[in-house]
Amino acid sequence: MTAEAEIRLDALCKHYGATVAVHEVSLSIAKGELVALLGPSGCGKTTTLRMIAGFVEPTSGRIHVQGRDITRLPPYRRDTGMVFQNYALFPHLTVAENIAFGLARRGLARGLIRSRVSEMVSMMRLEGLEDRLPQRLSGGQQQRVAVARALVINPTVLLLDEPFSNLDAKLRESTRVELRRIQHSLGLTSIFVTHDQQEAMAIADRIAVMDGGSVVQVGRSADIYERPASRFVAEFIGQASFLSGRLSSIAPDGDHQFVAPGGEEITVPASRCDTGLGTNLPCTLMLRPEGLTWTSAGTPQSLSGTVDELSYQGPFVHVDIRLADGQHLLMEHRSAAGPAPARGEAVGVRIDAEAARIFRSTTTA
Amino acid sequence: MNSLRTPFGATIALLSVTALLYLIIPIAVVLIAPLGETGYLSFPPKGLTLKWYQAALADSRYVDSFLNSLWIAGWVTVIATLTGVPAAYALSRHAFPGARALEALFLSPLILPTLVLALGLALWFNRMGFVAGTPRLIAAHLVLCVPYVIRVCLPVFRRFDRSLEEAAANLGARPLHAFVLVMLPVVRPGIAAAATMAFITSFDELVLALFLADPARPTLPVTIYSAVQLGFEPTVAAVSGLLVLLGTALLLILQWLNRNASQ
Amino acid sequence: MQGIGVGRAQSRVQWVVIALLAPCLLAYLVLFVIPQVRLLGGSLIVDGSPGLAHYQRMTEDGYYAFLMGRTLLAGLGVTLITLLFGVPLAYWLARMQSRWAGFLVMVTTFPLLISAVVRSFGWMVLFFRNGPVSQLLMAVGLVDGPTQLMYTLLGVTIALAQVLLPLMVLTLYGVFRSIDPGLESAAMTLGARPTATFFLVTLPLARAGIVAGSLLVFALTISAFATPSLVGGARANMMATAIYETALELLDWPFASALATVLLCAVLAVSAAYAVLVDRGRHDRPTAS
Repeated sequence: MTAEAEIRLDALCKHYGATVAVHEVSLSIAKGELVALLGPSGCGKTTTLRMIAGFVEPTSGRIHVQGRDITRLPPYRRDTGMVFQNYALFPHLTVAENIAFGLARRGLARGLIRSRVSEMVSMMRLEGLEDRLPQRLSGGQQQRVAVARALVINPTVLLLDEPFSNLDAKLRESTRVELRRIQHSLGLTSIFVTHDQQEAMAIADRIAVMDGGSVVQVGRSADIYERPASRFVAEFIGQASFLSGRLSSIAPDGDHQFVAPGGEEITVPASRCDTGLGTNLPCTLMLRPEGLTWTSAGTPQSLSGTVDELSYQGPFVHVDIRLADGQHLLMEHRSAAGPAPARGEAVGVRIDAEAARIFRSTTTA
Repeated sequence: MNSLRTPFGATIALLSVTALLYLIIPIAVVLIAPLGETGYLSFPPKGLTLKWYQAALADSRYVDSFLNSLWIAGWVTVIATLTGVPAAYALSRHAFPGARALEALFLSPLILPTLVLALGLALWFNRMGFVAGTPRLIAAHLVLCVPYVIRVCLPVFRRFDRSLEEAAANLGARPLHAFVLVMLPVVRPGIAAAATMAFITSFDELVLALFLADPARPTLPVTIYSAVQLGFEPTVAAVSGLLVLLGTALLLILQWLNRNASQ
Repeated sequence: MQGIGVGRAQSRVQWVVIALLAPCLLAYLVLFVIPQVRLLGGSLIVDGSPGLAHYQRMTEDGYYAFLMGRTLLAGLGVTLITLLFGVPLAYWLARMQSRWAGFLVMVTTFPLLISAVVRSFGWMVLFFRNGPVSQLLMAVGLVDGPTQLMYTLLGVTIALAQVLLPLMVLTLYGVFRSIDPGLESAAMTLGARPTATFFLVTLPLARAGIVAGSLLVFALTISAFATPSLVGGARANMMATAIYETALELLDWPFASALATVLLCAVLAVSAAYAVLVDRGRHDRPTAS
């Protein structure tokens, strides 16, 4: 580990009276990285972002950018560029004037401002809109202006607060790809906040999953998806089924034996299980839908039930299977493999241990 | 629900039109009655002449008091805006203990009878040796107009989107710059509306002027009021008619300005 | 509330706030608080020493009770008339889809730009003996001979209602606009005819606004001076005109102060009623989307 982290959050805390919004958040971000703060609403991700921007004063902890402690600096002295969720475009200024605002604050010469603005206008595909007022732009155009305005000042860090949440679904996808491309080509260290796990997984280099004010897991998308640290993370990222059952035994080589209420036995290697689980105690089996395949009932490593509901998704069909004891299982059936079983049909599902995890049992269903 | 085809819709429309007539006819009367030939006012007017209007425009009593009212209203507007806008800004942005009570205090002259304000001020000014004259009427009008300014500006400031200020700060603008470059342009229409309200309130005001104005330099409402007490003559009606025209002109100007601003 | 300053800048913010409020506060102290307190105090001084003689005189002399009663009656009358015309007009405008809506709202609020003196003047022309109102009433057969509404309480009430109607309409317009028309549509799909919908759905949701408008009009009516003075004259005195007379014609300032204090208390009582009703309404009012 030779390179000094570009951004370092050091045990950041924020308390509002008795409420803890952010608890001991520590994170290191390398230069050029795009990191997502991901979590449900209220998890503290936006507060953390606003502390980095300087709009919220941390109760304790420090923020370092390029080695400098900026914790006490006001927002207009930090070199952060921010894209707001509602874009916050100045309604009385044109697109060009909005983009030029930050440059004018920095005292750049008029000619230089003009050329930088027109560069940014073509980079963000805003040609022809320079003299329009924000109210006259579409949502997508407004978003691009907001991004342009933040990028043109060449910030050390780019901060984005749910930048795609106000766009419709199709636009969201294309915009995030474009943003990723720009961020990558500029090598701009960026942090963005989102509650959309698909978005985070799609474009972030690393994801910091947050819950209740703390960071519960940090890692690359694939790592978090395949090896969720807790049931919360597993539930939040991607889709999964959770089955309650019993841990019957742990073999000498570490293989955990899960017994479903219907009696079937599923073996899961130790690497994919919570540590310190007690035998003959309840536990939870997590299954990713893509790790399940059709099989005949009774084969080892399988569960049997009946098809309850089908949901056509295009390239695959989501099959909701009702097990004997009433629990439900979500299976992903590839449409290309042929028609899915019909409603009410009895089916068997084979479990791929690599797509499974055993968690400690929690009281929440 | 407004459909004329239903008895309900028809009733509502009928009552509404009646209400509009009820509102407009007395004002139209003021405008039209002085067009009559006769030396007494009647409606509908008998004959058609502009002589009363001409007389009104030539009468120095009315012209002088009109200019006086303008002068006073002008000063009141400037001082009320300079005093009230910062106060409204401070109240809207910063929660401090007593802010609510302060806000109630600032708005309270609006609910009090103007007569009570006039009485209190007249006694107080006399006691303080603040002699009858235009400055003391300007001071008195402030008590009436600053609350209007604050009442109009408070929601404007409260509605202001904070993220615009944050964006400005994020882009490097220090607080004063952010205020001037971002907040002021956006709240400007609200402040203009507040100033307009203050001006109109001061210009039209009667009671405070009756108690406190310099008898030698009355305001226009006072001149009209006194003239009416003396006799019911067409010239006074013509002056009132001119004020109606003035009000209409003001309204049209405001509409035109608003249309430009929002478009 | 987060200020954009950090750390030590917070105290600088405090000084800025004080500076912004100071001129206003000073003005209020000198021009409002002190004079009004002195007024109240002045009413309690009889011939140089404290006493309640002025108030006693008010209760003993039946005239003043009658005066107050008449003023309150006018308040009630004006409020009812403005409601009668204001509710339909405000509702009509609020639900109007055509382009004329904006224009008509403008027409409705236009009278507010004009002084009450001018507006009352119009009524004087209309009300005088042999004037158009008198002729109309004769033509309709309501009266036998030329009648005069000038210098009557009825005339003052009618005139004041017209002067204050725009305020009632403005208040109610905002209220009706904020009621989701979807609620009325829903009621009609459930079988309620427009009239029933209006009384069962719209009006209850507008209740707070109607109360607010009514109290505003009532308070302004009992405080009114210009219109009662011009249209009512000495014969139809109301509290405000009596106070004026007492102070500027009879030069009995202490008694005028006492009368003014009573009027002030009446208005404050109305405002307090409003505050209580608004608060209560805030707790149990169903959310009108």
